[in-house]
Amino acid sequence: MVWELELALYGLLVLTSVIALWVRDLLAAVASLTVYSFIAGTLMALMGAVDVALTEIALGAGVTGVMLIGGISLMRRRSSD
Amino acid sequence: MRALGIMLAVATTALFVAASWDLPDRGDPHAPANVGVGPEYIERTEEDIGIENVVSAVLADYRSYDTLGETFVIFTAGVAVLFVLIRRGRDDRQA
Amino acid sequence: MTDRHDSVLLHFVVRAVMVPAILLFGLYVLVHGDASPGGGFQAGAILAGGLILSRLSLSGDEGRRLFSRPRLVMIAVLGMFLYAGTGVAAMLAGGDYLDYGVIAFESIDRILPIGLGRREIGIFIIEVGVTLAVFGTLALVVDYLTEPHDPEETEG
Repeated sequence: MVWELELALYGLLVLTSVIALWVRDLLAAVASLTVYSFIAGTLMALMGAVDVALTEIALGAGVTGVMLIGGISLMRRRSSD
Repeated sequence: MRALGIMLAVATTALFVAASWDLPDRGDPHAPANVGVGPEYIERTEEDIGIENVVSAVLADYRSYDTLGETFVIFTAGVAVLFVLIRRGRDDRQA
Repeated sequence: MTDRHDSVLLHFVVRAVMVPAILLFGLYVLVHGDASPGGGFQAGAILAGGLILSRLSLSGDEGRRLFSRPRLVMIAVLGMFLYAGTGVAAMLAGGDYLDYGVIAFESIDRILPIGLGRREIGIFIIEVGVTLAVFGTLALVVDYLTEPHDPEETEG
């Protein structure tokens, strides 16, 4: 019962990482990376590594997103490739 | 160039997938990661340190040097970022 | 950009629900770190996240005055000193560096007789140090990254 959930989360993990590489809008890429971090944290919590999950969600999904958006706002928005 | 990149990515993915078959099962007590000092910590934390959370005990007591260095790294990185950003603001004002 | 503070619902939800909940959860993670998952690093990140959220979404500047940039630097440095100083205190007490077990915490135990072990008190002190350092550093970096791009406002 849990492994179906994990499989879906792994699929979403790959999907969000591909989206983050694919889109040209850097803001959308940051949003996708944030979702990636959140899914990765959920997977870690499912595996029982709650400490790592807490760090991943607080840092990866929370603070890093704000930092990247702040960095984007300091320069141009579009990815060159 | 693009085809080369895709081929490289596919090859690396195949390599990782092939290597992942040799990984031990999740939570396997006989996995190499779980037969070293790990059980020792789990057994001795209660009497050595006196707290329930083995992860906290390892991070904050057994491996305290590690955590100290980690905190210093974060602090130093933050200070370095600050210097970069402060310099940028000053250049903007001069320009 | 100028009317982002105008939504009453956003104002209420963030100020009355989200920020207090996040800050409370951060303190819980810090204080309860010896018995449940968590610890100094996570607590610092969560507290910094709460402060950043309040700064990004609220127009009030109580948070900016309470945690101004010089104070954030001081908080981070204080955290590092708390960590390293605990190690030095252990050396002064005759043990190895960062060996909290040798520090005599009897005075703390007399004030707060809750029966904590010596090592537990030492671990808590360094966890507070890590929390302060991570909180100050993250909040400071994000504060500089998200500052408004007005030439008049970019004085430190």
